[in-house]
Amino acid sequence: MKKHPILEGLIAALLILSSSHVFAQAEPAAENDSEIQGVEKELEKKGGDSDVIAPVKLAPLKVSPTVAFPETIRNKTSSDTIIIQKNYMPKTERMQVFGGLTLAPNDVFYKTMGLQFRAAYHFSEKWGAEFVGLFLSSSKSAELRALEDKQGYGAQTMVSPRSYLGLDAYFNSMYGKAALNDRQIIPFEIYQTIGFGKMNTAVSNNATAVHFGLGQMFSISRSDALRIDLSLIIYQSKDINQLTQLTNTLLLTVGYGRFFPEAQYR
Amino acid sequence: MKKLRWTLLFLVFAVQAGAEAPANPAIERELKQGLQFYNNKDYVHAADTLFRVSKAPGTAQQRQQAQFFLGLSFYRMQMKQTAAFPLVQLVREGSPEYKKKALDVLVAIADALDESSLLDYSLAKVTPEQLSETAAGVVYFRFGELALKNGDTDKAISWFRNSIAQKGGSEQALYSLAITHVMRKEVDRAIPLFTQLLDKYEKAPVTDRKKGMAILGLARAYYQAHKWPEAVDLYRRIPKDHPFYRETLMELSWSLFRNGKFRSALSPLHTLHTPYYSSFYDPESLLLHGIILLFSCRFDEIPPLITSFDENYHPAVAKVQEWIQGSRSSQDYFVEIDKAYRTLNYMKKTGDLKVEAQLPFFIMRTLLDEGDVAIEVRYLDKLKKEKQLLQKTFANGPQKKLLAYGLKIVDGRAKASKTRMALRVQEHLKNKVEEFGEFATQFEFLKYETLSGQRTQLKTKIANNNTEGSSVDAQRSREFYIQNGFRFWPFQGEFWRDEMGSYQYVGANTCERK
Repeated sequence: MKKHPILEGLIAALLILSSSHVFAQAEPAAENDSEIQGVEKELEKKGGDSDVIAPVKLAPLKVSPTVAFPETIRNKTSSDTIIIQKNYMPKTERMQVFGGLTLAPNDVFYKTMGLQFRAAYHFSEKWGAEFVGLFLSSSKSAELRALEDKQGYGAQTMVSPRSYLGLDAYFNSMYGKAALNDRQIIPFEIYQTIGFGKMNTAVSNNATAVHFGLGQMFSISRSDALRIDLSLIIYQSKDINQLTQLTNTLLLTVGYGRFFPEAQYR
Repeated sequence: MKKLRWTLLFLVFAVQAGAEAPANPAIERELKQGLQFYNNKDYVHAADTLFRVSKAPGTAQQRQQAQFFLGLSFYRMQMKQTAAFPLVQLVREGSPEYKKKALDVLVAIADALDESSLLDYSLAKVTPEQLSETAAGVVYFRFGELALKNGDTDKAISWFRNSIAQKGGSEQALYSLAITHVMRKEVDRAIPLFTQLLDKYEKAPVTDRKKGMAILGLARAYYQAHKWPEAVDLYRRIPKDHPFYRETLMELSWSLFRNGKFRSALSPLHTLHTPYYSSFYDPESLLLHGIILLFSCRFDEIPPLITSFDENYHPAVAKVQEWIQGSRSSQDYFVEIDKAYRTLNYMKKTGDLKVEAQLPFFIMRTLLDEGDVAIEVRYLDKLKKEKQLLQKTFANGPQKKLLAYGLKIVDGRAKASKTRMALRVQEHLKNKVEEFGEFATQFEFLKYETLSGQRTQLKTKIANNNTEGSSVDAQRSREFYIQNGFRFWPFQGEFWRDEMGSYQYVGANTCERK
């Protein structure tokens, strides 16, 4: 048989090329990078500005980062501009319940302290009415015990207030606001109360009393308040010697007040 | 021998033909395992397995199926940008069946990411009829946005209406339809649409962003219809702690001015000119303030406004002009806007202003509020979160290749976004410089009118021997203002944050005294 070396060479070459193509398909697929770049090019076909030019640094011009409104804008309108804003914590037609700790600060020999409760209704921002309830107890101070123990001397309070129940008129005379650490604004108001009630002491009951109060209320939220109150109760009652005398009791109260229903506006 | 040669040749061609589909049972098993992981919601292992299968020399059908479910796995893991890439690959090279499926998901991803390149790509490839109802609704809306961007309002209206009619149609389409009618000056059609949109947000909180947009849209429609009282009432519904409050002050002032209530129009401007808003670029408010004072013949109060404009805006814009005229790359623009963004975030956290950029902060900060820049900022933020998620999910496990793949995608898209943002910032800065020229001209007119008015007023004063006393409450007790439930404070130059928006101007119109 005649041999055709060229034809055989061609067939061999074809065999080699084909097998390498088949084996090539068994290699790992295209690199992730080329796939990612391909998709990037597809998405950014319109292209963006990709020039890279070295930036030129210019001498800095002194420019303020913010707009400084001149003093004349800020101060000129002292008579032409006013601020009218709604109360942060409205009181009109809202009830308030209050509870606090009370201390009689002007008794040297006895520590007189207790609890105070109030329930108020505010007719308007200025005016309201308030029930006041007070429960006190006394204990000997350290000074008195020292006197008794070491000196053999004792002391008794002529009149020891035990409880009070009364009705007051509430009047808001001043309002203001305080900035706390430049982070929070706390509105407050200063109020006065005046009223009548009944005082019970250690030795007598139902003594008619007049109550004067001065206080400050700090608004923590639209419905919560911190209240400091200084009250003077003047009443006529019997003392430990069963003699009737006019007595006054000074009380300092610190407590928390809650208003409801919820405020109607933001 | 001859027979052997022909047999060999035959074998070569047979192997060639079969080379496209080598039946590899191992790949098929791995693919099935990956799909099982996916069905069991174990997306991490599903992604890992399917990633390997998508790179393995399997059949085209196997690769496409792996790619599709790989994309879905990333999507389920909230790695939306990473999910987009295998799906785009499928759209480019996949079979019609997988192309359609991939497009459906790609449309949802593009909508969620709100990224322009992916959106444009998806919209170019898709026809709504090919998609599910939900996806079609999104696509109609995006077509409408594109038409609006190109100025074709007829088509935009048609697309938006189609979107609203679809299941997936959202309030966005309703809002955009209403806006389109406003742009066409068809306010009588826009108002009912905005009212309908506002009704949907009836129960939303007052600080809800979308509710605010609906209120503002309706107010602007009434403004365009010259119904000033209705516009004023709506602007006043935006509370002080709403993100759009500052914008409403300017527009409220314009509405009150157009309604002839000059005194009331000055009140919102007083709030805008407090230190709380000193880091915003707003020459228009100064100009409006000056115009209202001009109308009220209060000429002596105008020069401080002109001084404020000259001392603050002239050097700032000159600086910007000088900067952009230098040879600047995209990177420079991006660095400036990025610095402004960081300064703003630092200011929000600490209250302190620490500026390191070359360009004035109050101009760059205002650019951050521009729609097209804000979109890129949000997109970069999403990419940053996705990068953190990739690290958290794959860094500690055996899926390092997946992590590298995802990070490469996210970094690439971030680079493209930064380039786009830089171009937009450049355009906005150029517009600001051009716009400033117009404001400067207006202020020149204001200066001229002020000088002219002051001269006339002085003449009248000399001739009539008039004295001051030009406040509306000069003859009135301040008790007039202190009604139950309100607090009154005379303004003495001290700014309290809670007083913003509560300023009332009580100066009288001195033109009446002639």
